[in-house]
Amino acid sequence: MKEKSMAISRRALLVYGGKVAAGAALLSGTDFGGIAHAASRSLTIATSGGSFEQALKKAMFEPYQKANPDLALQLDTPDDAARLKAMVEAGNVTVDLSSTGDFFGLDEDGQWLEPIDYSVVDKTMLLPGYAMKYRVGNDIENTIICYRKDKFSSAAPEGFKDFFDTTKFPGKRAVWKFVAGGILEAALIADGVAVKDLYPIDVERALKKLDSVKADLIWWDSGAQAQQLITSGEAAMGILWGSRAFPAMDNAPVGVVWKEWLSGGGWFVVPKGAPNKAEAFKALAFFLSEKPQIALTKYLPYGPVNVAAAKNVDAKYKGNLPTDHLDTRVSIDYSWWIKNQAAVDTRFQEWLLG
Amino acid sequence: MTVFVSNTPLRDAGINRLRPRTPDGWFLLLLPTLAFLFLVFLYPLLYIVGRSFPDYSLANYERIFATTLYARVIVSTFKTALIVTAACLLMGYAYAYALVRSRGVALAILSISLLLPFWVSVLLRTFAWLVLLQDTGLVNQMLIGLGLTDAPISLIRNQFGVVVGMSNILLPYMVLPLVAVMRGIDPNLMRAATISGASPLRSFFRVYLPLTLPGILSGTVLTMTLSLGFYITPAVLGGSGNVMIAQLIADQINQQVNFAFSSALAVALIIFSSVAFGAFALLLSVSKKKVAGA
Repeated sequence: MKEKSMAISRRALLVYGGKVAAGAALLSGTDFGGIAHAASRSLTIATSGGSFEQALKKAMFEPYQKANPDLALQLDTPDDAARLKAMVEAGNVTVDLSSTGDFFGLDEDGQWLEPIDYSVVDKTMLLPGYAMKYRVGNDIENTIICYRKDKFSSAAPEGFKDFFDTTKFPGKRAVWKFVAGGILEAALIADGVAVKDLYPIDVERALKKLDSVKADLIWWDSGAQAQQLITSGEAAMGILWGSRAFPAMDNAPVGVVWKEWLSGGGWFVVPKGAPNKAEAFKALAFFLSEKPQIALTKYLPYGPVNVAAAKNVDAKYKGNLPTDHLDTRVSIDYSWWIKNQAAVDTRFQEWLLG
Repeated sequence: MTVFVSNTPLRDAGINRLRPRTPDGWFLLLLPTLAFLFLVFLYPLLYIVGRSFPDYSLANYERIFATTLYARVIVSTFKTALIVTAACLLMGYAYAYALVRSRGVALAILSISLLLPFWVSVLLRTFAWLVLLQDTGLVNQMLIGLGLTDAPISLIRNQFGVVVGMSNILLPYMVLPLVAVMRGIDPNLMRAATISGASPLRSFFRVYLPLTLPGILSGTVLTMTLSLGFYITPAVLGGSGNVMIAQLIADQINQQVNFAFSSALAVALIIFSSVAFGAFALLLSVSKKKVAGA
């Protein structure tokens, strides 16, 4: 008698537990319209969150979810390389696909990543250079000089030379406190080094050039801080991420300089041992196709990596997208930086300390 | 002096009470706490120490001393922490005294002004200081508007900004232990000192101050420990010359993705802090013996 009641209660528990699980699935499903599906496939994508995640969601994830109702699509943050590496090391990979910056996913990073399956993702639809062994491009980003139009009404700055000319263009400069963020390249170009001769970087020459404006530099650590420095007028000029420079225009008289700009990229990687890597490559094939790539330009001032999309961008940022100015870009050599970053950073930190 | 003497038998009695001759089962109640501390504190700490010696090599520690950079940053970290702790002690002592002495509305206002900011996010308060103190900020606009200065005065991106921001955040950690100790002081002791002919200054230094020492100690250690690990406030309000070690550790993790070296830096900070606090404790026990022996 006692045994029987136990059995029943256990079954009741199982049923109840199943309901809880279904409820949890429903809750997580609300990200994409709240329809509970009998999910037989699943995919977890990590991004850096915030407005970037919102844009990817609208341009790529939501349409993909709609076309694949049986897929349980989960979003996760952050997309830090440190976190992915720790996951792979611990043998507990919970992310199938992750966005990443320029410093991760190079050919040297094979121990952490799955090679991109180009039999699923069509290489030929991408701009040259964006189909790499362990990562594939998603968007072309920019780090760009912006300035307060109200502070320089007579003549606008035209490039890095003017950025370092505090006599002609007085005022504070907001710059990224990251040694490989392009500040040394900017200093060298201002000092007369040709773009093709930038690497290997002459660190001492760059720091000497930076010394000439050191008192006028304000170092920023986060994009929000950079944007605040320009919109408040605390800085008269800055080298900002495009994702911060263009929104700054909405709140203050801010102009940007396209004559010389530093180019970077947003990439996708698949961590080694990802539980649903086949799903990840299938999703990538869609995300990088023409339509979602065009849709992305509606939400972010970034250029698409899809060749057809680059010619057909949304009207919102047309003319102000990196892909509209590919001829004047300065490409940062990330493989040089990967090899030299630790040593150059120590020297840079010493210099910062004064 | 009578205070120390009369305390001694009581303290001994207390120790005896805590050490029962026959062990009973009550200490088992400690096990969950011990397990928790081991899992979330000691184990990760040991893991970090292990991580800082990849392949049993000392290379990461050699790298710390290969340049003067890290030594200089550690020195400046301790310097900032000391200034902040001293500022908090000076402001906090007076504040705690006023709080203990006040009643009614004054007490409510003093308590709320202390605790309300305590509940607001550190990040938010740091950015609020930025808005107030920057060149185009409220304070500078006011100074320029009043004609007190022509060009904005640099209030942030220097040591001043860091100390203002950090002291604001850490003040409650100094005030609360002081209040707890001051509450327990019998006001009759001060009265007795006055009756015995001591001047107000003398009775403060000979009676009140020594009695608040435990509060000063815990407040100082708490504030100092917390300020050594500060990260976001010096990053936002400091200049390129006011780097604290936590910022370099964060850079090593976020920018350089070098877990081993960042672990070594963290271990170095722990060692230097332990040595500093150890020296502090030693100094204190020596001076206490002196006081007790006098």
